[in-house]
Amino acid sequence: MILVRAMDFTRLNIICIFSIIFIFSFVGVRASSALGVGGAIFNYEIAPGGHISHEMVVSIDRNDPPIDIEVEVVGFGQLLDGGNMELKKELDMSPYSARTFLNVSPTSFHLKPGESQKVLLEGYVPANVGDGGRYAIVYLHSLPQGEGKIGVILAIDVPVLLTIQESPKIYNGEITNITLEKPVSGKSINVSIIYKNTGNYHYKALAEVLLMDEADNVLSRNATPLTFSSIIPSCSRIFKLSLSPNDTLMPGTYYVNSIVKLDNGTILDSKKEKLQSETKFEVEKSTTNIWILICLIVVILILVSYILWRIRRARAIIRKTNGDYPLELEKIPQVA
Amino acid sequence: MKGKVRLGFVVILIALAMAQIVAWDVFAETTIISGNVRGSIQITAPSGISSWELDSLAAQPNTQTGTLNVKANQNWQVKVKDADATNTNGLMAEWDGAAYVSSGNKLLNAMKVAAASEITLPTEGNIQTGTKTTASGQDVTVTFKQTVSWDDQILTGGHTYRIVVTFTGSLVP
Repeated sequence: MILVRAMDFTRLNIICIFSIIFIFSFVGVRASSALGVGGAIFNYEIAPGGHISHEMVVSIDRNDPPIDIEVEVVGFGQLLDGGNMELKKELDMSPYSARTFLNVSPTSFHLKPGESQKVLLEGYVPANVGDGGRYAIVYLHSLPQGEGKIGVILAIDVPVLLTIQESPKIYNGEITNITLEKPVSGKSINVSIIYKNTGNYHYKALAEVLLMDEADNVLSRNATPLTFSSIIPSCSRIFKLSLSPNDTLMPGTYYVNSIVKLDNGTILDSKKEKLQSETKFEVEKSTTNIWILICLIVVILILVSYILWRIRRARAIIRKTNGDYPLELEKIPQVA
Repeated sequence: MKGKVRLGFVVILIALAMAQIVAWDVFAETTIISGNVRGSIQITAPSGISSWELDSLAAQPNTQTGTLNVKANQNWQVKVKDADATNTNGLMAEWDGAAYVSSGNKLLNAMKVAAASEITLPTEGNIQTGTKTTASGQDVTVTFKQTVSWDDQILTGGHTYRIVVTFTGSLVP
């Protein structure tokens, strides 16, 4: 009876422990809702005066808590790192904005677990819309979730990129700022380029920098990969590069030529900046593994040679003491 | 005579066969199915943090981590921002459990949010970019960093410091 009670008690304990672990794991691991959007990018070619209609489906998972969603059309801005900027009416000054002729419905709704909601983006492109591209963002976001010290808002930007049919696309741009870090011995020369898309269409670009002397000899060269996202008209992007010349730079005047170009090599803009180096500049070369390996091999060879030499000497001594080798005894060191 | 009859018969048969082929072609119905996969993205942000004991004696900054999950069928990016320029503007502000306290205290140092890149609020910026994910998505560890100064005020009456961080996911144009 006592044994049975003890077993019951043990079982009860196990059940309690597992229940506590289950409850805590549930509370601890719980993430915010998973907000999903189908039709999350709208890239469309349209004639002036044409009608636009794009359907998005917003959903949350079956296991998610209910969520309130708000939707609005905002201007398409970009941060220097390429992140989107949702521009409200008062900040959206771009002549390439599509915000003014687009609407969404519904603008707010409630989603229960596992539910989805269709959101329709509609509008007429003005007949006198102009050339190139027109841009906007459909900004979908939740209300703040979590009552604690850090609350969370979940949001999704749906980029809207409209190409006006049969209109010229202008791929222009301007380097608006170059920042050079003056050479300090032992470090690379860091270059930051800020580039603005002054054309009427979006594109990806890359930057290249050349370090040249006064005779236009290229001393060092570096390039970035193509931008991860397209640069929208009127928006700017930062390119960060470093130059590491192979040879020592003597004090003097140098030039950094910055070039921004398209993937096909078309140069969009270039600028030459003077770089005055007051001291001798030499980039620290990192010790490569190959030199460590060579040194190691040399040391091992020396050790092996020494050991072989000792063995040969020992054998010679043994032969001499056996009398079958006509060497002078006094010239052979004694082995203990 | 018989040969001509046979020839005529063969010609009629051929004509009938041709007519049948034409008829089949006319009445045959072809169903063309075309479509494309739409760009889709799903984002699961770290859940809100409620029990964070901010300590000025601890190694600075105080940190808390969470997991962000992104599912996307093409290149994507996630940025963070503090959308509340009035109450917090990057600084954790006094919260009474229901609202921010008017002219309440704020921590002296701005919150930082880091994944692949680190952003100091209220500046907004990308913390992570990625390419097409698998069906289970890509997990990203997000670290919230808060430096606590000896001059930061201790709150009483059940008040806490609070900030709301917006995680915005987007497919990349």
